[in-house]
Amino acid sequence: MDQARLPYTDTNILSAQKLSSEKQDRWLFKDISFTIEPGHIFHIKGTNGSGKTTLLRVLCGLTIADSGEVVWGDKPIGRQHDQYHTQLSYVGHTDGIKQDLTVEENLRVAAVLAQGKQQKSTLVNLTEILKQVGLNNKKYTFAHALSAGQRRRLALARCLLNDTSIWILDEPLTALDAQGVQLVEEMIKQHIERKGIAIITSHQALNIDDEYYKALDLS
Amino acid sequence: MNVFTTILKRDLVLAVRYRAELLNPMLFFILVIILFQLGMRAKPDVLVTLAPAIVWIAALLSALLSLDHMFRSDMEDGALEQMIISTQPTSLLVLAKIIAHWVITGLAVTLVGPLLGLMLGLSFDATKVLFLTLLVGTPILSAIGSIGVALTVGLRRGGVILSLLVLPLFVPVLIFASQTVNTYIGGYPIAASISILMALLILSLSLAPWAASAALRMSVS
Repeated sequence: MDQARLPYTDTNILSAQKLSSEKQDRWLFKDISFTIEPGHIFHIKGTNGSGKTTLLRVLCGLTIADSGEVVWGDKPIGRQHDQYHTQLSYVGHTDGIKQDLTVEENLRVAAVLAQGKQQKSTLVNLTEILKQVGLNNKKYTFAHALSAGQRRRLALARCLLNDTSIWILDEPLTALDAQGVQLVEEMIKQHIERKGIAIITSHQALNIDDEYYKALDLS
Repeated sequence: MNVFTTILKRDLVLAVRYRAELLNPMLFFILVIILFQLGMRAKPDVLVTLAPAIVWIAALLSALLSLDHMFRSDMEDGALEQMIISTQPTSLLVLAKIIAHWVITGLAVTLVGPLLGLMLGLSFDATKVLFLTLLVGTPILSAIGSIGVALTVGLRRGGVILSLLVLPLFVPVLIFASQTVNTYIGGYPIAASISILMALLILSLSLAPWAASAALRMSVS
């Protein structure tokens, strides 16, 4: 088995316990509970405005739920923020890409920010990662000159910087072409093969084995 | 430390590539002072006593004008979220952004301010003191400002609240800095007031990053 496919060193069960969140006097979701075992993909579905992004942000620890807890291993994530974040890669609805930096500069900043996270066993090479997401020929292009799909690829490249076991991806397939969708599916497949957890929102169906697939409909 | 220099460099590169951010506070600073002079038609000796305050008020307003940039664009494009979940100390990242903000706005004001002081009739020696107060004082504005911006960046129109929050905290800097120059012109020693400014600088640079990073976590959620 090649090095990239070895299981992650630190995997744990992630569970949500009676999460509720309200926005402007309306419950986005109420008392939802679920458990995600390592090696599974968790697909959050729902109509627009049903609280998918909010739920993802709660799972990241960026937003605090109005009630309930997210538990990773044996402790709530609120009590182990730093430890939890070493295992987390998040690609949000806003992609965190600076328009006035080049593709390589963007990834370099992300790599430095990700230094505290679970390190890869092999040395990471930015060129290699860019090649993997199909942006190697755009290395010195400004991010504002990229297409929406290319920007998405650049954002997703962040997941490959580390060996984080939890990926939280908000609409990773938006704006991607068929090839891009295939790339993301392949990335996620490898990730769950290594006993990682992937939590994604998407309106598109994913081509993933049922055995490793769980879904939650918020609407 | 690597993180600190990376964020500092990133912000400076962004400012150079997006020149409006670099030039706008600077132009504003120069224009306010020139307009003051045009509008006042004061006698030269009156102008000299007002000069330190004029330069400092302009510096304060131009800092205020540019403060919102410090976190706004990072908030909008999601870069801030990435910083918060990065496991790097957020306060260190905030310190880098404070220093970057100072280099982009405060440093330019510090370099141009004394020239405008000369234009307002300050003696050469007095402009040296003015330069010193600007050098010590403008980073305080960036540091204190970072707390205000961090608190208001989550609001869609935080501009007014930002001014109300931050201006009162700027007042001690304004008073001590412009008084220092006036004290010097009056022929008295200025070591004490420079020391107070230094103390304010150390205090704000050591405390503001923590306060601002706590505020940012709230604003992002």
